[in-house]
Amino acid sequence: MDKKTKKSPIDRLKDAGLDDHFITQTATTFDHWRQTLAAIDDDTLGQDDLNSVYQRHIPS
Amino acid sequence: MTDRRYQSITQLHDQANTPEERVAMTHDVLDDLAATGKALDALVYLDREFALEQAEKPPQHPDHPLAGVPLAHKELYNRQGWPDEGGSKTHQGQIATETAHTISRLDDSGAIDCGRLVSVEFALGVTGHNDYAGTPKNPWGQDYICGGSSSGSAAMVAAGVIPASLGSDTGGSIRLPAAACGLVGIKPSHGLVSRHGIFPLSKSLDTSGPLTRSVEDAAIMLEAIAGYDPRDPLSLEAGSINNGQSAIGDWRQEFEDGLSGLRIARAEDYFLTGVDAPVADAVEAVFQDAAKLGGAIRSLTIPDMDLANTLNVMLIASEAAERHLDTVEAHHHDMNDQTVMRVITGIHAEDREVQKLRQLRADMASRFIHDVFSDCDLLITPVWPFLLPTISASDIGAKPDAAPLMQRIGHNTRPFNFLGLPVVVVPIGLDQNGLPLSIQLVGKPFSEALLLRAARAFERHYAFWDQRPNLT
Repeated sequence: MDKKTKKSPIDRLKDAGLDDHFITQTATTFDHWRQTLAAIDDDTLGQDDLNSVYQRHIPS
Repeated sequence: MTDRRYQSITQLHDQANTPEERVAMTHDVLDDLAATGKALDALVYLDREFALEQAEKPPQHPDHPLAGVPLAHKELYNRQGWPDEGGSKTHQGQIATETAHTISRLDDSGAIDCGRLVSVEFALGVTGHNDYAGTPKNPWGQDYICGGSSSGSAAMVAAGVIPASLGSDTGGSIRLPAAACGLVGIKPSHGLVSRHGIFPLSKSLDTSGPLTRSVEDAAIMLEAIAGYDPRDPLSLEAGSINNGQSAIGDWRQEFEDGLSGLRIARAEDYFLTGVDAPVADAVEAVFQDAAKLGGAIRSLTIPDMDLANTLNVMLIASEAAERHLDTVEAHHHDMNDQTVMRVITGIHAEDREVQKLRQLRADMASRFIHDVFSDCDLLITPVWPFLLPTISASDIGAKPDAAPLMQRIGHNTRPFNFLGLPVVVVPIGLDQNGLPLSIQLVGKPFSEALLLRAARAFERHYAFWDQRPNLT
């Protein structure tokens, strides 16, 4: 038997009757933002999370 | 009734020594919340019976400044048995099953909880518009917005009905309404105040803090709610009280020390060139006043603020989509168009992109703390990038220019959510339309005591406490 494929969020919203213009307009917006994120080289990312950074700054 | 309006927490506490006094005061405040809250479209829920019961009981700590003081908070703050709608018709009739950590802390302090005030739907909006719960009117000019998303809290504190109210801030939702309504607002350091029991928007970025009319009241509220809570995975030990001393410092000790000796950063690029002229001019005048008050002004170039704003918008959308997709799928017909638009923008994010956004917060915060706060104690910037718009002019729903406008309004606030830094908003005067103008003071992690000291110096200098809106 074929494994049931999980629907993508976009397909779920389309099936729920959400107006297509919401999908296309928001995809355009996110693609614009995505370029900003993609321009940052993944190799420059550190290992800390924000909690670790803030933990180090708790006054003694 | 109105003789109790505009009084501070301490003034109200001093009039709440007996059960009779506390009950009488609570009665007055409940009536005022009902009347003024309705007139300004700011009220969601009152529980008279509960509030009056709280008022009758002797407080556990009668000397705590909040003992006997009536308050009301943003509707996102849960109390078991009270409505938990998140400002949305999609959750109509939902009842909270537990009480928020911060609300329990205020209960322990002896504060009296009267009810809940309007939030923007899911806290996802900066103008304050809400078709379902109401769009609060600004007490300083009732055609104008209060800002969002803690709009009802700002309206009721600015109208003097209550001295303080809790709000939440994910991209500016405490600071924008505080600034629009002439209030002090605190967005605390990452991890300082628990978010447990607060209707969630973004699990990484949500913060909880007070809106008040005075800096002292803001400090009293922050002291009451700060503290470690294991139920919030991002909570840190910084706010825990040990031997009566909090790691955030004893704000009372240096509260009246003024600006003398403080090194104040002025970042012209982005924060002053990126805002409209009347706002930039007002903030430039603050730097001149700060120098006269003993502050040492240092001009800096701070890179990547535009980037931090964009990354914050992306992370809010991504985590809002993760949290609220099911609701949009089932109930989008019952939601404001702008909320739908902003939530579903996040469905386009890929998991690796969300992970990268979270990683970048840590990297950029480390750099910012080192580069700015090695040589400076605080940074001063504007809050709103332009003069406040009217309710009708800013009601743009989900039109194509809505996303750029939302991003523009958060120009000065969102970068500091992304970096997790503490910020205190303080009013400095009125603009050409008679509406409040404000600045925000930004510090290194857990420097709330220093920021409150600086805010107190500006409060004394500009004496905004003495100004009141005309509500008639």
